[in-house]
Amino acid sequence: MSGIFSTLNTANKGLNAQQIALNTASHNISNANTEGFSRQRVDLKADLAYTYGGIGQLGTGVKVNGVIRMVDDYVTRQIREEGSSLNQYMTKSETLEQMEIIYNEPSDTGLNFNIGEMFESWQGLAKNPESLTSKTIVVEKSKTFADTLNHISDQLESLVDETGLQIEKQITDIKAVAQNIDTLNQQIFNVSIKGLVPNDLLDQRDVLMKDLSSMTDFTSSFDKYGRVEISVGTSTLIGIEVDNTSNINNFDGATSTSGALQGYKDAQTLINIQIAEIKDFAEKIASEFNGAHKPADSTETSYDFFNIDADGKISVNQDLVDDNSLVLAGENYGSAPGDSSTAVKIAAIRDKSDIGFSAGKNTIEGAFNTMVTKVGISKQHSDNMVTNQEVLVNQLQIRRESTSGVSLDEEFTNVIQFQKAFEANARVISVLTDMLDVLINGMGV
Amino acid sequence: MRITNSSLTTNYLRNLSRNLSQMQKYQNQLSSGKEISKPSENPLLVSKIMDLRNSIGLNEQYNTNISDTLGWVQTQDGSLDGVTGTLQKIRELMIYGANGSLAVTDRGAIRDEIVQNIQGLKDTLNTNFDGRYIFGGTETTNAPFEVDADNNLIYNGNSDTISRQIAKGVSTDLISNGDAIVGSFDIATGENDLGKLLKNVITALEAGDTDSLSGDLLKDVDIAIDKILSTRSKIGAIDNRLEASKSRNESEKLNLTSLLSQKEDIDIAEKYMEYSVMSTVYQASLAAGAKVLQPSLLDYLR
Repeated sequence: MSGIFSTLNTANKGLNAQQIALNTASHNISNANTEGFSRQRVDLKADLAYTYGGIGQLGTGVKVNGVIRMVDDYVTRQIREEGSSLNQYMTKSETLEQMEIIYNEPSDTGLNFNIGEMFESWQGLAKNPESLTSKTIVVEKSKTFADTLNHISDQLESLVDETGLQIEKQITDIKAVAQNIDTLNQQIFNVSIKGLVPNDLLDQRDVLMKDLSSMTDFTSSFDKYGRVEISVGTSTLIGIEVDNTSNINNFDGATSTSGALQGYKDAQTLINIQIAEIKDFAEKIASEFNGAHKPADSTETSYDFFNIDADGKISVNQDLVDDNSLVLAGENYGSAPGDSSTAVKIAAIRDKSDIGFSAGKNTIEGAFNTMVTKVGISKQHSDNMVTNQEVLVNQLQIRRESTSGVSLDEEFTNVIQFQKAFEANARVISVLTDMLDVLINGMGV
Repeated sequence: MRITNSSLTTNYLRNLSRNLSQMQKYQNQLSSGKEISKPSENPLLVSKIMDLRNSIGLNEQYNTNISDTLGWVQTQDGSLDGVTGTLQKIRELMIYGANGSLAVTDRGAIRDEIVQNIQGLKDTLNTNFDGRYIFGGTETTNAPFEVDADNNLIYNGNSDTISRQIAKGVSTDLISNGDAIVGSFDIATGENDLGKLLKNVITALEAGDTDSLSGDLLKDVDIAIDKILSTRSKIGAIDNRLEASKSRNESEKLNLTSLLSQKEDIDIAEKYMEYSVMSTVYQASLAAGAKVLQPSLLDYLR
């Protein structure tokens, strides 16, 4: 039967429930700026009623059913997937930007300019084959060309090494994050086995999974205890209820197809192609020049103009550097001093398009131009992808925020609402106290 | 849709940074004066710009080639002008020497003067341009003509042609074979070079052979002068061709540079307008930020 004490109990439940709700609101406010935090709501419901004979069902106050985390798992997963792709292109674009800087085009000091100057020095020699100064200029301009080309090749090689290190670092980072997720899986299990929901642990794990997705793409599935199983492509990174040490240690990134790891790999492939093209470029130029820089009279000593060393680096033949007069201007070394047929032939290489570059039929300047354009197009494509993915990820983040984000105005409204309810419950207790006072002290027995 | 404080801030910051990066782009363009600075901004345009720069470099090289060759050709013309003058002088002396009433000593004096003129002829033909002899074929470093003890004018150069590149795939041959200039006359006496002809003149003067002096030899000298004149007109034609190439080269240069400028230079007025608009947008977003981000329920709860 309903008595004052029963009502006191109902009011007490109300006080408790409002206090819990206030605490949750306060938890939300204090985590308003915590990365990956999802706002929480206290799930209140009316407690079981009991049947009061002849009257009907009488309520017994409020019951706290649990604390719910407000998340949209679909959006969270999409953020991870699109984030992988965003990071892939972002990383690729950053690396390709360094490549662009190496090529340093369009400029008045880049390789394109040096090639032009070199051919112009040959034209100068063709016009003035008697002059040793013209030959010295040819040697110096050709040295500048060779130095610039080697410098580009050196820088590309160190960029490819640097990218290799970045790939290793990504793999190490992925392993570290996977280790943390594995640990969290265990903690989540420990809580959920008791029938509770580990809201904040789930948030923490979502953050880690987002970190992981920025490095590599993966597929995930959850068991009934909220533990996650993660596979990168076909290889399992984190399994459930197994020792993941070997899974994590054996991870080598080979099955990854997106994320920063893949971005670095894509960039590495492109740089390697460019390095090979630069080598081919140097070799073909050297053989073309050497083929032309030969006296017609086979009894004369012939000097190569360019040398290619074992690393594919090009240099002007040291003999010619030491003695500039060995630069062949005429048909033979013994030709009349005004003969400039070899110089004319070499100057004409500038317009030749059958040099035999492996990248396709092109003139020397055209081949270099194509290389630069290729880098530019790759970088432009990556930049466009970054812009597109950014828009997409931003939209998704706004959607996530609309479900999970903490609105201070809303929380404060709740705080006031719960405060008022708390006050009202307290007032009920005070009324009940007055009633008891009347019953106990007011009735003069 | 539920909007939260953090979505407001994130959105605001994102837009602000987008505006700022746009500002940076315009500032870059304005300060460098160039439309683009990296291939990725517009790969095909960069490719075009690189091509144009190459063409401009090439064009400049051809320009110096042409100027240099023009100097060469004009020096040749000047030199041959001297040669014509000297031959005219010799012709006058011959007519004077053909005078039968002339004393032997006077004829001797005329002979000596002609010998001096042959030396002068040699010096004129040995003119050099920029340290290079212009009438020696490709033997450009040794004086091509000499006069031996017997007053023979001898050619020591070769008959190779010198040619110069004046445009892409276009070269011009210079008249540099001295032998072709002073030799190969259709000479009545059967002699076919200027050196031998002059030698004959000297011999005739020494022998007092006034008949041939006023007859065959005079005719031959006239032919020689005509020959030089015709060479000069050929040189003049080369000069004209070079001048035409030069003006074509210069108009090509103008075209190329203006094309390059169109491709890579910014239109300052237009860019500045765009920059001003962007700057206004940026300031507006800053001002909006100050208003949007401040108020919250907390400002009104007391």
